[in-house]
Amino acid sequence: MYIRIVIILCVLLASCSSNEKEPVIKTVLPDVMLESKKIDFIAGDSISITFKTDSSFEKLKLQVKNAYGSTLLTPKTINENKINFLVPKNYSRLAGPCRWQLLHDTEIVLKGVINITTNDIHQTHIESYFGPRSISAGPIDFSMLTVAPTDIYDNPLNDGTEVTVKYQFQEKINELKITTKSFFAWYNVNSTTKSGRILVTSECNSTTSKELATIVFPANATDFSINATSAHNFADGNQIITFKSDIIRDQFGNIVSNGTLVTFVIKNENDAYLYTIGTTLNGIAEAKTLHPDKASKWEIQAFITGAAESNTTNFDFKPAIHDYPVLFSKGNRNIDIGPFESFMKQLIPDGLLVQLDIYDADGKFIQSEKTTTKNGICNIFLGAHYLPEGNYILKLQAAGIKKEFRINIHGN
Amino acid sequence: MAIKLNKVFYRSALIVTFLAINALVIYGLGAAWSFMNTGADKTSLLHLEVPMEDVYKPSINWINTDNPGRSMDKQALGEITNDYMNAWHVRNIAYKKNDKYGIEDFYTDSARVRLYDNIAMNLKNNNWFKRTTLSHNSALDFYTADGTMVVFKDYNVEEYQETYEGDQLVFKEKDTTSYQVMMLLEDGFWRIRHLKEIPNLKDTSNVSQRKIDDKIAKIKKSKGINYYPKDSPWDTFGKKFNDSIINQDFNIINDMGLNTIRVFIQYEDFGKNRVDHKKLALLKTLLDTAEKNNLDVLITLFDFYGDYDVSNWTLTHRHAETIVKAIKDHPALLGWDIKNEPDLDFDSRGRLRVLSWLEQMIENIKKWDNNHPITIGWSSPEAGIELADKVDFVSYHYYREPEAFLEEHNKLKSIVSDKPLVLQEYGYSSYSGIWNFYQSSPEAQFEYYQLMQNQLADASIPFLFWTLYDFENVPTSVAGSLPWKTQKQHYFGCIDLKGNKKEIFNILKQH
Repeated sequence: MYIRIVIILCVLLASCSSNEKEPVIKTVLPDVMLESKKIDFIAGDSISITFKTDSSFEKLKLQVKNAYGSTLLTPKTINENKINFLVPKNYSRLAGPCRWQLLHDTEIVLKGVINITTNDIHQTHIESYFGPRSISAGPIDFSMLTVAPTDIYDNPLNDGTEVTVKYQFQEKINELKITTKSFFAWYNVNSTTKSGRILVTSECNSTTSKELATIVFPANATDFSINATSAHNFADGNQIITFKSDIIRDQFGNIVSNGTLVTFVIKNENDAYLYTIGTTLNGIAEAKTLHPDKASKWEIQAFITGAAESNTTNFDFKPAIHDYPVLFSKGNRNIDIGPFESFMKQLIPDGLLVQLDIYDADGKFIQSEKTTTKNGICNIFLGAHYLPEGNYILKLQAAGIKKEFRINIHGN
Repeated sequence: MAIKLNKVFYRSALIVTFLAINALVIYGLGAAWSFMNTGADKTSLLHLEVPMEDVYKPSINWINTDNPGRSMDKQALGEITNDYMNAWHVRNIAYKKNDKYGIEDFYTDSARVRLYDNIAMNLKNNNWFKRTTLSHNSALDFYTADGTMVVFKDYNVEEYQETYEGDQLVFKEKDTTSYQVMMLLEDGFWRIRHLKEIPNLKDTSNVSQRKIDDKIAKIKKSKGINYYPKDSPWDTFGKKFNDSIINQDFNIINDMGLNTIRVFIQYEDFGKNRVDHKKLALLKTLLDTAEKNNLDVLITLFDFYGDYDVSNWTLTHRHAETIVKAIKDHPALLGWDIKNEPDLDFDSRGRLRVLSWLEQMIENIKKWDNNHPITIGWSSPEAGIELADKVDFVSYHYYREPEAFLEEHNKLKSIVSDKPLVLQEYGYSSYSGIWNFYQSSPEAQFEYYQLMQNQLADASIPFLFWTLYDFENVPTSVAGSLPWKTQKQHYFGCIDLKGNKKEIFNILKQH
């Protein structure tokens, strides 16, 4: 009697609950048991998952999923009530959890995880990175070595794997052990006080990496000294004066890198600045410039911008030309200047600037004329269309020598 | 005669051959010339960042960027994040199409081989996958001194995946997985070198309880209207937005004794995943105005959106997230209606695709705002059973015979007995013209509402009728351009085109 009531109640309940839900055509899930019990594997193992079932298994599929993706596998029948899924190589070789779900049509029947661990029995591969590849000498800079060892199937080795790092500088070879964490191990190779190359290599499970190098460049230059030399000290506008530094070094005594730019700044007696530039070779910078064309006093100082400066050196130029003749003709309209003779009576090089300032008789400025010498002489012609007849003051200036003439210009 | 024919034949053959050879030579030269001028633009060597349209925007949150290596700057982190997301995106696309396209840009040589193997196998087995990730929580482990390698953990990545075999959807799943990732900077791209699953981080964030009871109580007493301004129907937040007109309208609605309005936010109009802050400001203005007039606002999101594809889920998430987070604390907000009549897209997009989209959107909005109830505006009472266990109240629309209404309503109520039901849209067009054979009239509309309002009042069913105004212009995107379909859309209002109250106005006025 009780049983009957219970049954009736059950039927009633069932009818009520089915009333409340969307009618879904539920497929009857087959009764499936996981046969294979092993869940821990090493990457590269052949993995197969076996199920025992008493009903049909045509509709069974296995979805496997790992960090890189998913796939659907179809079963192989072993015998009447056993099926087997072979996990493909691209899944069995990847270390990490591999999740599987046994599907019947669109429903999950069973699911589970197999753990695949890194294969550290076989050969290890090493990828190592080293950078920056150039650093500067001294206690601050460093290059970072990162080593990412993997197993034969490219799985990163487990945390705590020991990696031996060796680094060499000149005669000294250092060796130390570091351990991996989150795929890799790292070590900062500090810079040295001497410039040169640091070579590094690493080793893990008796596999060695390739050799990597960083170049230690000299640090910033320190203050240095310069000198100026020339064949003579006449201001002939022709000779070349050479400025030369001594060997420029950083604070650790390393010769600065070749090609370091050195600017030589020249100040003359009028506080006008000239500059010339040289780059270092084996620590020595050299720069050249022309002599001035009139007597000057030069103060020279060199700079490596932002880093170092030199002493100040002086160079005095004696006048090369002491005097020059001026000849007026053609009603004083034609002026022949020169020949200019240098310190050994030789003709000066072409291109000396000659300036003529013209004033009227009252001293009012009218005009300037400029010309340069050729073959030691030059000529200025003041045409009638340009200067009418009359009295003028002419002031001539060349090679630092000034001459003044009061003349009457006439004719044409 | 024969000789003459021959002569003509030879002559024409010669001319044709001559022309053909010329054409060939010119074609050949042209082909050679264009070949010499094709090829990659030289700047492509530099791998400069190309401005890409947003295609993949799951929420990503860097929980920690401290590391013993180089300090992480914002620019580099942005580039890493971008390329990491691109790596996920190209992988998702690759598994969807079983095509390698783009993989080599975001995976290093050794990593891409794994993907290629998987793709080849899936292609062989005729499997493909639609997949997306929804959220990432990343923590930096290491950034090397020279800035060319980065290692980080990506915790609790929410992934959604649909497995297909041929055309058949086999299986869909959502899971949470964490990863350890190593990326290398190679010729301008950050590429994934290693990817390994790691244990999930325990979620320590306290999920605060949802507090929606007061809003649900309000909803049970809702008497309201689906609102569009008179001159800009289906374009509330467009160029014609005018807060004084809205204030005027809300005033009328309030005077009618109604307490609720339903407004629509269009997905594209609001700027898709990059929500336009100007539009948000307009929405806030509307809410302020509603508050001033004692009206609660039910906001319908994703109007005119109809894709639902897994590949742009993340974009819709960013859209909803921005809007929800911006106005969730507004006192006038009553609740969220995720989508208007999504069941009408079942045929064209697939029922499961639409439902999956709705389901995860409900979950997300619950996460972003736990103080407002969520619903979906189904187009018919029959559709109301869909996702009834997920929504907080069930909304449906009813444009059929008023006599059958109560029966339909009760049928739905018997199935979803534990959730409040809201008649979210109903109405009757007073259009009378050639396109409906003069079948309707303001009187018919009056009768309809008389019957409906009595039934609603007797059964105390919350309602929002359609709509305040007759509309002069109805956009073609609403009901197409066929006059027999669109004409009646103009005359659903209780105030006519001239601004006069129709007869139904007094029935709809609450006492």
